[in-house]
Amino acid sequence: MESASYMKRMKIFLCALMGCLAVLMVCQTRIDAAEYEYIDISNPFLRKIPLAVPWFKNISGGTDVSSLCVKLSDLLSDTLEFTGYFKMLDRQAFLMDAANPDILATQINFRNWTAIGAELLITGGILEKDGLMETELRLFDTIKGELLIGKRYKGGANDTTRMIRRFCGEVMYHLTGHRGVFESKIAFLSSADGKKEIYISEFDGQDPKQFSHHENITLFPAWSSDGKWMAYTSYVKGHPDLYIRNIRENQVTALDMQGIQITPAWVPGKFELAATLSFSGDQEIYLLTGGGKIIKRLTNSRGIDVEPTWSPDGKQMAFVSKRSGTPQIYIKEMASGRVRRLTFQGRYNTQPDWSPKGDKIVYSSMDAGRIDIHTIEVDGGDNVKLTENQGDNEAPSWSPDGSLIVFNSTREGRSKIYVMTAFGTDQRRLISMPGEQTNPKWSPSVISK
Amino acid sequence: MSDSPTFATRNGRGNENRLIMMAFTVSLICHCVIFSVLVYAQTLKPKHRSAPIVMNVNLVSLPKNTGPSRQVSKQPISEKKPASQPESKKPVTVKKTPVAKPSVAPKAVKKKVSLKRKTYKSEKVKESTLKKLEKEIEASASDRISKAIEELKAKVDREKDRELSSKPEVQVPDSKHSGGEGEVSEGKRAEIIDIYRVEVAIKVQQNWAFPEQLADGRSDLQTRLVFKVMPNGDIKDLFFTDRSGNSHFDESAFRAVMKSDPVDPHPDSVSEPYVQMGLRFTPEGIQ
Repeated sequence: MESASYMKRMKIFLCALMGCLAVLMVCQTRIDAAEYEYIDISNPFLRKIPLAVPWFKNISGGTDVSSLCVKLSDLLSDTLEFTGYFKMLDRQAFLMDAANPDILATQINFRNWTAIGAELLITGGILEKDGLMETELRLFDTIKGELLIGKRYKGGANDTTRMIRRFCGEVMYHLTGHRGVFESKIAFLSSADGKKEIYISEFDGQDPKQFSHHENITLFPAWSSDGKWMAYTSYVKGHPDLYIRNIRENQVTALDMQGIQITPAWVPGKFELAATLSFSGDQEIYLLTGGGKIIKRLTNSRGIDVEPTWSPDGKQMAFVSKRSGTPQIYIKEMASGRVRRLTFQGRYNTQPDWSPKGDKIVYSSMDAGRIDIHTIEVDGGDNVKLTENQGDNEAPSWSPDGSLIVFNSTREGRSKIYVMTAFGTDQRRLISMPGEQTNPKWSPSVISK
Repeated sequence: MSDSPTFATRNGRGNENRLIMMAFTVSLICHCVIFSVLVYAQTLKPKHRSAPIVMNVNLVSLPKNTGPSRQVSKQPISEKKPASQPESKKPVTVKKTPVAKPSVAPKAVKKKVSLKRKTYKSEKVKESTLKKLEKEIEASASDRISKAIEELKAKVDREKDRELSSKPEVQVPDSKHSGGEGEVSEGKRAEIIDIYRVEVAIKVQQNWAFPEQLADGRSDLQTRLVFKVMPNGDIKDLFFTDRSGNSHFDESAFRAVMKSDPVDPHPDSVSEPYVQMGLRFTPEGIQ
């Protein structure tokens, strides 16, 4: 009996103790929260990360390698600057021995880098051995003095650009969780030789190569989501026909149908595409197999339905329709078949492209005779105009990581290809070619070589 | 007799039916008009709203200390020089062009006796007027500068006097004969600390670098940091009291504070062992 009452007393005592502790903890947290007065800072002074890329170290010696060091460090700097995430610091301001840079964490005096405002530092070293290039690249956090990424690449002299791009991909992955755009390409139309043909360039506009050779008018290039196929429209037979071509094997399928066949868009993750066909008399969007067979009709309304673009999960499709009298963007849910109107501002909204992140749609809108690029959230909110007072800006296309938008603009006279961040900043020209360039389409990240 | 009322009622019903029919037709027409307007002109309604436009702004940091007000007072004089150039009589030495001073212009006009003379000895006239103007400018400039310096001196003296009168009360708060004044100085000191806090916050803000892409379109992120500022400006005991969940955002705030270390030392009138700082970072300004 006694022990039972003792246990009971102990239980009461323990409960009381716990209660006291709980009250104390609550009081403590309240005191902690009230102890500090906070000043609000809501506007970053710099909207980019300050990054320093000193010239790479020539580990093996020799003049050939030292010129390569300069070339590759410049390439790395330009490649990362292209993303719009970084502010590259001026090499003139670096507090270091340019001839013999320190590349290891143990050698680097990080105070010298924080003093000039650098938050990140990339060092590199190149060693040439038996005709093979060995590149060491390191990313440092200068504030903490930590090594964030360290990579060593080996390859031939022709592989150095790929090594740099791969490391840039690592840097972007560390920063954003996405490997960036460095493995992607851009297809566009160019009327350089009097005809309109498809060209494909690197992600940064370098090395443009002619892809289609129809010697005629070619339009609407569209990449498949695995980057292996390209669909486009060509007037080679006198009327707009759809072609589906394998990029590597040069294998072409042409659609055998009456009427126009335009604006193809591949379904993400499938060998299927949507395109506008008019064999029924009205321009409607159909779902086709990669082999060019019709699976089903996707739109059914009076007035033309064109320019489909798919959500990243392939469950919704945005398209342009004149069902309300003016061309506007609509979204169709595939499962329910429900169609809702997305754009209500302006009387001419076309060329939608669904962001790879899934949250936004970029499109071009005509207002007072001027065409500009807008983004709108998929639910219809937050409509932002990205271009203004700089000629006509059309045909926007998202980069595979959703951080950049490529488009064509007449701001310098004839239509050329430009690129900007997803927020409309850092607008710059991408491709310098004779003639007019239009309709750029950014490929997915994986491109078959 | 029995027929007439029935006729009348029939007639009345006929009228009623006609009225109903008329009302129905009018309503039908109205409906048709409204629906057709709604269907064919639905794009008209939101025309007035326009989408916000993106502005690309490159920020350039100014040199840290822009110097005392003396330098500032010099600037307007040097800036006015080019402005007066077109008004002057095409001088050869551009640098010596007179300052456009309202009192100077009429004097120069007065000297013109005749057009012939002026054209005849134009160079001499130019030289002499330029010399005179220069003298006047120098005199006026030095006058202004000396006046400004005197004003500043007077201001500094006044502030020193004030500080001297307030300082003993801060250091000896227990002095019995001036309790009320002691409270005022205490309040002033708190005010100085608050101003100092804002200065530190501005320095941190100027060191804050965060790309909008990394916010993933979220404007509700919030990070709170707390640290101590030592009298020599060193930052100590930096820690998070609240994290946003976005590691890039938290890191950028942390880096901004670390890059600001050391901040300016405490003002002379602050005698605290350290100043406690709390900063709340949000990306609201980005959007």
